[in-house]
Amino acid sequence: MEQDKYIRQIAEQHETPVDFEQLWGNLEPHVPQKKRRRPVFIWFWTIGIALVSLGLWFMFDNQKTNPMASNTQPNEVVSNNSLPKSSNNVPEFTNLINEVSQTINQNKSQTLNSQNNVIEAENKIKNEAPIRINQTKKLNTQSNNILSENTISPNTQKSDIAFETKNVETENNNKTAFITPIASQVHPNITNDILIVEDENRANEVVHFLPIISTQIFRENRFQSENIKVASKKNYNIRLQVGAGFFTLQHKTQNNASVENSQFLHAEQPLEYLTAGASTDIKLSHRWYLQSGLRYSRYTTRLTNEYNDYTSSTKQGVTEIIIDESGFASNVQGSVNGTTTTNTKSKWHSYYHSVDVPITIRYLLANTHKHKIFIDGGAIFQVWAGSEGGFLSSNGQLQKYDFANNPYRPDRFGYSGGIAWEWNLTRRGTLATGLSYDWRSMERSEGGLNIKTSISSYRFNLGYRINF
Amino acid sequence: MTETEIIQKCKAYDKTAFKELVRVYSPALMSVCVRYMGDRHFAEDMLQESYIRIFNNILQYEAKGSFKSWLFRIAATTCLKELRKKQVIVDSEITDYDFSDSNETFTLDDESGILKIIEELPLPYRLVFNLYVIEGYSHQEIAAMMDIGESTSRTQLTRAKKMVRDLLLKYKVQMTH
Repeated sequence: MEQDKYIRQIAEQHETPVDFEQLWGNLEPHVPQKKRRRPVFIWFWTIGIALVSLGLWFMFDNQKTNPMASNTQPNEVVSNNSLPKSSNNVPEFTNLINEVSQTINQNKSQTLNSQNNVIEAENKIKNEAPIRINQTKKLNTQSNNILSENTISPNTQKSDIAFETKNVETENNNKTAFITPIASQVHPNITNDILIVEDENRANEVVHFLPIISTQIFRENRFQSENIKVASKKNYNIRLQVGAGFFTLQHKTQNNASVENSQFLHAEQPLEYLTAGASTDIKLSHRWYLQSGLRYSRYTTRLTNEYNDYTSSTKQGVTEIIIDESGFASNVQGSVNGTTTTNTKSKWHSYYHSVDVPITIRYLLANTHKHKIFIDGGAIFQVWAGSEGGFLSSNGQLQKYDFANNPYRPDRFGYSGGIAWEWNLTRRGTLATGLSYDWRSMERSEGGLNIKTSISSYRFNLGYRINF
Repeated sequence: MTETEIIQKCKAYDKTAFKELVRVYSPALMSVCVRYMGDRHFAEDMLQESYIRIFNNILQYEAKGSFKSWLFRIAATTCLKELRKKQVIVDSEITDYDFSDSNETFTLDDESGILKIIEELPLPYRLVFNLYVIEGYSHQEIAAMMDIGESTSRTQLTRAKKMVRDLLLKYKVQMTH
């Protein structure tokens, strides 16, 4: 121990002469400068925040509803009675007018209540979310009779049997809130023939544990080394990452004809795009890296559908009140044929899930002491995909589906690219952010027509890499 | 310029302070590098590499320990890193070595003589001996730094010390204490 102590003291105090000028000449270029914020990082954050804001704007903007109103009141009055003779009794006429007004108001009230009851019952049956109903009433009854020249004017009151227009607007996320249009009465005002659905697939990242073990025996010439064992060194890392962004949809038919101008394009709107996954990378060379992992993605869309129900009905009641010359009034019974229009607006959310294995080649674009910037590109291999939600069929109806009867066939291959920034926070921990673009597609068939949907997604990533 | 001033000015990225740092500590750091690398040419490369690491990490020095020790540690780890790149065999036993008498003699507190003995140790022994006896690392730390087992570190240290004793006999070292 004492020898160790002396040896330590001697070794610590020992100095070996150095050519200082030559050494400083080599070191001078490496003297660090005052750190200044690099504009590239500011731009990086600015672009990231802008993209996220844009995505949020898309998401919330799409939630606005377009109120829809329809007015349809074709009225036809059939009077059962002919006009009696006219009368000159004016005071009685005034009283009669009041009576007629009461009768009319009563009829209006009954009609309105009846309509409300019907709507409420329908709502209960369909198990819908609360429906906002705007009702307008209009009396429009005409007599078929021609009054004589001696008829006191005004001697005829028009009946006020009303037919309403209902505006129904729903927004549902739940499958059970699906609204089935009344088939026999549906007059879809949606003209699209092509349905669209979303698919979404996301990529993940993979982990590679490929230790690079190379054996290079360092042997001093003075000694013969035997019983050699190689000391190997393994470096692993894993990156946990989440991402969010937005995406766009493009639809093409079987013969590559664009389906632009189809209402379908406006019916399904992309909302948010979320990912989560884990990956690892291995260093191929000084600047090239291979990255892979496992990634889950979810795309959300909302499909907006509007349609009108036209319900014909005939109502019985007083269609005319005739006042004769003596002031005597008589009710003319008859029927009025009309149409009740119900406008229904439904919103349906669809979710496209995907588990992918992305394989990416990364190139180290810039490297400082604590920061690295990469550009990357590669392929996405889909491991699993599923979706649930709804799509608009060619007859304009919203069709729901779940994982079991998912009509989409996702393509197993996609590609991605982007830019990444890594910031070494600690020796073992690195903050990783970046912007990525992914492309993938899926296909659905309906009535012999194949509809291919391409998804282009943009996301901002945030992750943490652990080296061990 | 005192040590404290050098540190403070280096943290402020004062170029003259860096130059002073290199001027003051280079001989000692060179000695560390020679002890690990066993070759002056390699040691010069490692000294330069060590200074670059020191420059880049100067802000991380928190004055909790001796500045010189901090510098030595950086130099030692830089050399070790380089040796690990070369996949130096640590778990090996040197069985063939000539311990026949030498004409050279020196005393235990003869700096050049002691360092000659250390430099003469086979590299695997020298690494463990340097780290344990001179730098003061524990076997656990050495095992972690060199990717070897603790038992290997102990074994190599025992062999290194035995060889040091043999070399002391070879060079007829006089015990003056």
